[in-house]
Amino acid sequence: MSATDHPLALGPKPPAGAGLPADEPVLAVEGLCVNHGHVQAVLDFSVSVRRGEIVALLGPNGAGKTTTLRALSGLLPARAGQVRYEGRELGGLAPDRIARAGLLHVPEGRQVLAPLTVEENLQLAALASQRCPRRELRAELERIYALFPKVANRRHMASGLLSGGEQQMLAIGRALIARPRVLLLDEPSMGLAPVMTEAIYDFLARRAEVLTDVGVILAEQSRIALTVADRVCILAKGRVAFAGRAEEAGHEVTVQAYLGTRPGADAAQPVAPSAAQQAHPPS
Amino acid sequence: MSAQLLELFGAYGFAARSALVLSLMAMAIYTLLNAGIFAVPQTGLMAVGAYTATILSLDAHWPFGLALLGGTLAGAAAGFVLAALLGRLNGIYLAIATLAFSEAVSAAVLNIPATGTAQGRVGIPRAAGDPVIVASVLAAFALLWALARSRFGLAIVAMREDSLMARHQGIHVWGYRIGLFTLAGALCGLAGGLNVHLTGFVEPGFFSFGLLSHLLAGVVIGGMTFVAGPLVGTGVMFVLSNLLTAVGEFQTLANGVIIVLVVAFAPNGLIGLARQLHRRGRGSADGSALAAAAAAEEGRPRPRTQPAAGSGAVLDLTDIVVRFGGITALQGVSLQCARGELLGVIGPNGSGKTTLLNVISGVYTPASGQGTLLGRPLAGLWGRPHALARAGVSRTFQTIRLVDSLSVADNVTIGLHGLDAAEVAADAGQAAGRRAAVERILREHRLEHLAGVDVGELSYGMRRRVEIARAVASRPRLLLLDEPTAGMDPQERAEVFAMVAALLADDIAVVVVEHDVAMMGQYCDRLVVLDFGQVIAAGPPDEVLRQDAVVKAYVGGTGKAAAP
Amino acid sequence: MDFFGQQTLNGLVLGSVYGLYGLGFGLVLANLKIFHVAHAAVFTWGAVIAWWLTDRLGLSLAAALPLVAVLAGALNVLAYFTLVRHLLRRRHTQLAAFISSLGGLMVLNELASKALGGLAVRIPREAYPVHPVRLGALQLSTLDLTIVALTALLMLLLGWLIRRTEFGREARAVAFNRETAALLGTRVDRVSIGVFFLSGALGGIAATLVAMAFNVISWDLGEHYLVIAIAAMVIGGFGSVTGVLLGGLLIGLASTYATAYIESSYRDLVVFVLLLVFLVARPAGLIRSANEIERV
Repeated sequence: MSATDHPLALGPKPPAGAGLPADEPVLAVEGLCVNHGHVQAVLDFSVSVRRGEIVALLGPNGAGKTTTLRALSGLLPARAGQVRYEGRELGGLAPDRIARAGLLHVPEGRQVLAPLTVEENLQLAALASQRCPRRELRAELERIYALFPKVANRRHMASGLLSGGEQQMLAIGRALIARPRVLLLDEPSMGLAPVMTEAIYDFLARRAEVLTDVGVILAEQSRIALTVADRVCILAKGRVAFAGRAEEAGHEVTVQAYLGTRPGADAAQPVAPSAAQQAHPPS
Repeated sequence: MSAQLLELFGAYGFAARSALVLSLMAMAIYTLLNAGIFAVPQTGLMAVGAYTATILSLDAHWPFGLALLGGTLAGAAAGFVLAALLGRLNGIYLAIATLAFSEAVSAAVLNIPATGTAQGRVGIPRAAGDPVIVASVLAAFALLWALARSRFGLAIVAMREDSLMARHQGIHVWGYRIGLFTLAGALCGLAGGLNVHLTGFVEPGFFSFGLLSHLLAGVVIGGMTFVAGPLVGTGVMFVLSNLLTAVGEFQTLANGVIIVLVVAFAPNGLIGLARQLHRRGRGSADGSALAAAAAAEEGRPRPRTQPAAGSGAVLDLTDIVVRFGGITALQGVSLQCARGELLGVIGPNGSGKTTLLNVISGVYTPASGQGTLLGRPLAGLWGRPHALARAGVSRTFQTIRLVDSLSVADNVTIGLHGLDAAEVAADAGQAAGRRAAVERILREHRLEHLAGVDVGELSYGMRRRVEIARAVASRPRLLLLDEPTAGMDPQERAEVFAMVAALLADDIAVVVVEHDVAMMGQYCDRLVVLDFGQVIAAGPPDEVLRQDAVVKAYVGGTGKAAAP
Repeated sequence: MDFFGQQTLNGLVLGSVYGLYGLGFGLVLANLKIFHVAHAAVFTWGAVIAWWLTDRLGLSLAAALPLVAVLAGALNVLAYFTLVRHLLRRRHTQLAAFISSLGGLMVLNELASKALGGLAVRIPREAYPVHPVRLGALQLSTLDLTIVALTALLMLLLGWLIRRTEFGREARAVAFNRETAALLGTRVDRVSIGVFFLSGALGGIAATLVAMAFNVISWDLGEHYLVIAIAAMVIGGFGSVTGVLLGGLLIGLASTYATAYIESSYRDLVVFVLLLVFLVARPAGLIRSANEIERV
């Protein structure tokens, strides 16, 4: 705990676009390498996310999606590479610092704080993030409840008693109340019944109104993420097998990346690569 | 003669003898902590031994030797009963329970007239001569040293580092606990008996928390995972307190500070520190071993044994259901795996693949369902990894579970634990003993150049090779591989499957869980596809992988996205 | 019946103090999953500080108590920084933290012994004059009433703190899942500091009350009641404040009855056997909470 804060000083939410040119990515990752013990779990991962954009991070289990997100939010150390959030280096910061700076991670399996009530989960998230002033707390709570009426019904119930879908909504609400500028969503549909998954994705589809100016990385195993994503990055065995616009990630491309990649074969090249998104063919 | 040796200490003679007797206690502390058992009942056990010896000596008028024996046995019995009573209690609860035990013994002493209650008893013949004390310490040390070097010692290290993995090697962890508590009890009982016959009296205040702290300090300072640790530590403290009279008065304070510093900066104690420095001096000697191994790898054909004739189901599961709380992880899974067959289990995240392996290897007990292993019903073996290991089931884990601080040879030796000596001999053929068996296994897996290298220094691919070598060391009938090629490059993956092919030729049934579907399709004889805990497809790979249901399960519904 | 009532009353008074002492251990256990034995020395020092303030500086007990709370709390925070904090990322944290804390216990005990000059001291009568009180057929003293009232007050305060304040929410979150709490922005280190301070403060107050009730302060005061406090924590269920207090009351009653109906020398034995029974049969304690340490 140092006396002086990191340059990512906290303050009131700036008006949209202030301090950053409109097309500058809010999150820029370059050459990220992460180890899991002795394993090279993620190798040379790069992506950039702009405000208001959703980038889907697809891949089968074990591809490295969760490891990547955990490295971005500070839970895992990166062996190499650069992560720039709002133009500034994030390397080595503690997870709670990163969260207070506005990069929020909704973890795999939701991880609601079970013994706390729904409202307490939200209150904690709002105040701990230090991005929601106390006087606005009530209004913010109502805002989240309006977004997720099912959760509002259970606001004084212990959050551990909620269903999987309700917990997922609570977890997302928890992140939203902290006014994120970047949101990392780790497999929100995992373990949920299809109808709940649909509800979550209906919510994400309304992002122009609920996720204004938030840059989102949405990690999923299934292609359902493509229904709301602008761009997509497919991970296989820790490397980027495909990167491009969501429409370009056709069925064949995905199936090939998931099921058909033979050891030693090149992955598909993106149709229109942008500067920060060169596909790296596995060797 | 040793009696004269100790007299050289002159005024310190008594302190030296006392320290030697207490070193037995320190060894008892080491016995439990070294196995990762967070228990501290030693002062209570010492009291049991001390009072038993006292009563035998003063009331029953037994000669010194028999009274001492009685005290030792009483301590051992108390240790045994305590372990049985505490069952599988672990962690902080176990520490608290054993502290409470010691306090309970002190409290009980106050109520038993024969102990002399609060005043204690005096007049015990001071028959503990130097030869007996020194002989006891040497004998105890020799016993612990031999134990550490035996396969039991390896099993204990495995228990400490990774209890679950240890159980999968046929190590009966709970049985070991009872044995170690009994041994610790014997050492404490012996110390108690010697102490009362050294000082001539016994009183309850001696067996205090302060005494425990003092001894624990010694073990930590010496290094609690080394046989010589308790002796070194006790010796250091003896020197500090007696020869540096200035410190003598502040001994406890100094001990406390030293403990905090040692835990913070040298958690393996003085011996661990010495080893670390020595290792750094040795430098890249191990690097050259690795290089030699790499050079030897080139172009060496894999040893192959003759493929055996005959087939038959090794594993047969019917309707296995596994539940955790409210979640049903496996909903009626049935499958078979035959001799010499490679069965692949695939499926998306959360489908239950690892749960399936965990049920087969004994980590979980199924809520319902039946299974047989080589025709023998699994009913009595569910949920007992060490029993299943001894029945012929062996596995590797998703995250490689090896003991990094041990050598490749030692790690593989742990895999032999479930076999008794006759089985090892029968298997090794001409050459007798585990060492020969281990050497043979290392040769088969092309690891013999790395036999002495610590596993912690190896690359990921090599570590996985060692884990597989350990898994097959006991000649299992059924081998379970949980994501064995995760994190490997294509060449390493090919090698793993080549090794598996050799095992299949030995008639072992192999079940492998993996994510790389293409690779599984290429190597497996049959595939089973799981989704949401159910089998959605089973059969030869080209049939299974073509099914729509399988593709859909993995890649998911396209929803509103347009497919090209 | 009067005799029984009297013993019950005595048991409840004693039990309150045991519960307070046990709470100190329980709070840290819930927060960091470690057994902080050095708390016993912080307890002792609480009493030593109380003695020093009342005997040496002539303060009244009412004036000294808040100071004792603050200073004992600060001492425990110091213990956190020197003994515990650097071990939180280790592989065998529980064992390492226990041993490190044990070292701290030894150091603090010695210092207490030196501070008291190797003697047993007491808090002077003038600091808190005690008068007898009659409640029907039962005999009490104003000290007994103070102890019970103070414990009840502290319980309410603690309950309010945990249930209704931001800090309490964060403490509950960290106790449940430290990593997720950090992902939400919670300053987990500061929460631990707060918990240690609270734990130390409660221990200091409990020690002062014990010193008043038994009229003696020695360097091993904390150790003397160590296993009893642990018993309260385990039997009651360490994750719950009410639980630990309930455990304390039970222990208080059990030990008082043992002394009254059997023999005083059986007092401790009854407590320890109770503890062992619970550890074997129901380690989670009477009041289960979500913050359980795994059993195996």
